[in-house]
Amino acid sequence: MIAAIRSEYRKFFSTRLWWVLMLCMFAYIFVFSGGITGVLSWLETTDPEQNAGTAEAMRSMAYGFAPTTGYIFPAIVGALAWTNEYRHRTLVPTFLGEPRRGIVSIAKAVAGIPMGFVIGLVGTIAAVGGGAIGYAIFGFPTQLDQMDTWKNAGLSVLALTIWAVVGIGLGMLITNQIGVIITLLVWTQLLESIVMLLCLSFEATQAIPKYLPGQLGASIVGGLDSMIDVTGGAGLGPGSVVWWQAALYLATYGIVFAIVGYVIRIRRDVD
Amino acid sequence: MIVFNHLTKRYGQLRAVDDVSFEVHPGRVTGFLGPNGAGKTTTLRAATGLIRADEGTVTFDGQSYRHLKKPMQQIGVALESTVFHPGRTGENHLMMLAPYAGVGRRRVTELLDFVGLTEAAKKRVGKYSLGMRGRLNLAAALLGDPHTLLLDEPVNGLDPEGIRWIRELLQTLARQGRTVLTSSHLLSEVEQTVDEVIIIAHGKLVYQGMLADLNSRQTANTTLVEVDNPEAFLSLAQAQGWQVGPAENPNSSALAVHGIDPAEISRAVYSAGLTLRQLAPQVTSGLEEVFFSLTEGRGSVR
Repeated sequence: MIAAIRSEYRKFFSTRLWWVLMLCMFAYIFVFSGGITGVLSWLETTDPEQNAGTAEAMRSMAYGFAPTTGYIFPAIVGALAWTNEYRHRTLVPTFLGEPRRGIVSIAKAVAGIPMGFVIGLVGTIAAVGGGAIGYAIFGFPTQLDQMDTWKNAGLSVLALTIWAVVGIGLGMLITNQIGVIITLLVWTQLLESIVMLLCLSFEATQAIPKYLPGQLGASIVGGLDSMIDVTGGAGLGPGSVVWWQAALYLATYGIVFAIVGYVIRIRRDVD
Repeated sequence: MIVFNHLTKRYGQLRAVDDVSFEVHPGRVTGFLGPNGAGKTTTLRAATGLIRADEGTVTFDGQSYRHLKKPMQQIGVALESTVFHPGRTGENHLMMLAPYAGVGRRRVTELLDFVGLTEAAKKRVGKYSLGMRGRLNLAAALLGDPHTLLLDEPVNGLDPEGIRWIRELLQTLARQGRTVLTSSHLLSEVEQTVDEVIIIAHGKLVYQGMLADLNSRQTANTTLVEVDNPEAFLSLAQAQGWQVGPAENPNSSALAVHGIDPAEISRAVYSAGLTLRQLAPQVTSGLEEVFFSLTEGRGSVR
């Protein structure tokens, strides 16, 4: 098992993928987070009466930007752990080295957690760093001296780590590289919002949206609450999920994907 | 010793490997031969657990591949050379496999040198030629210093020098007492390397034995005969009990007589008062001919 985990680490760090994606993620989150706080602070400075308190209200959103918007990156990195092997057929030497595919599966998941943690750390630094700069430029308090800010930052790292695990599970289910990337993009950027809106339109399905993966990730950093604030209390359905519940539910997605993927894909003949 | 025991792999109706049984012994190089699509690669994949056999087993000293502990320390496998991430360097490809083989960087460096890839070690595999990939694949197989080697078309893409190098290597490994199974679709390619041959065609085993025995196995000699009166010749052949068939060239009016000495044909034709127009013995000796005759008409399963 230790050999398999070590092999996974070497696979991960021996291609350009990890730092290219991490760089993209950092730039993306940093620019958007800084942009949001910057623009809101600027609005409040130019027209204090109209926009009083806007910047303050958006703080948790900007600082929680990594798990609410940037989570696609750890998910893709996780998914590619499997799909890369299928795509380049390195599954052949991998399974020759360790023919027990269950061990390889567990090794990938175990190796993926610290990698997800690092990605989460980088994403969170980008969100908080970018956001704080946006505030600081216009002379607003960054609240970096507050315990709550750091608690949320920690939860943001947790959320992104779990997203990497969800990605690993999804990569076992959808082993086609293009397929899994498109699935992730379409679901996170488009479909989830549509499903959410549809569910909210009917009373019977109003409880569903908060269990959708993107919403669960956001709930880990209290994203849901801030969304409710923003939408003027319209909310995303009754009841709310506390952070640790959201973390467990989100991880469950990954575990279910992984188990189903193991049974219907990983155990299959390798061509 | 590797034991293939009634191995069968089906893809739908197609029997890619059909009840194949044979043994591979240590101390010699065994050639695993058959035309493209005969089922060689499928057999090797089933042996290493990459695909599941429908029936039968393959064991290495009594154990199936899936049950081996640290298989790379016992069995070195090099399947086709398309199993690399193009963005990973050759050295890193071996480093990624090193934990499975239980070895460190020193052994990786040693093997890169051994297969002649020291200079290319830090280059991405995407920039490697087919021959270099073959060498890297071989280095991966040798990483754990295994006592058994399974190689699929190892000379593919190698230049003549590389082919000679690999021949000598396989013989050296066999002399050290290791078990070496190497596949090829060309007998001539391995003729100088192998001691024993296993030939499959259409998923079925058609020959197993020492190369020397295959060498002495003669195909039936065929003589092309053309006479002025073919009908009279046919009744003559029937009376003599000869096996007669049409010539391979459909435009020729000659007939093919199998297994009869041309001198005897000539005498009989003369005695029957017929006139010979052509009497042409067909040369069918040589290993490649034997190989073709064994695999003829049942070459590809596709």
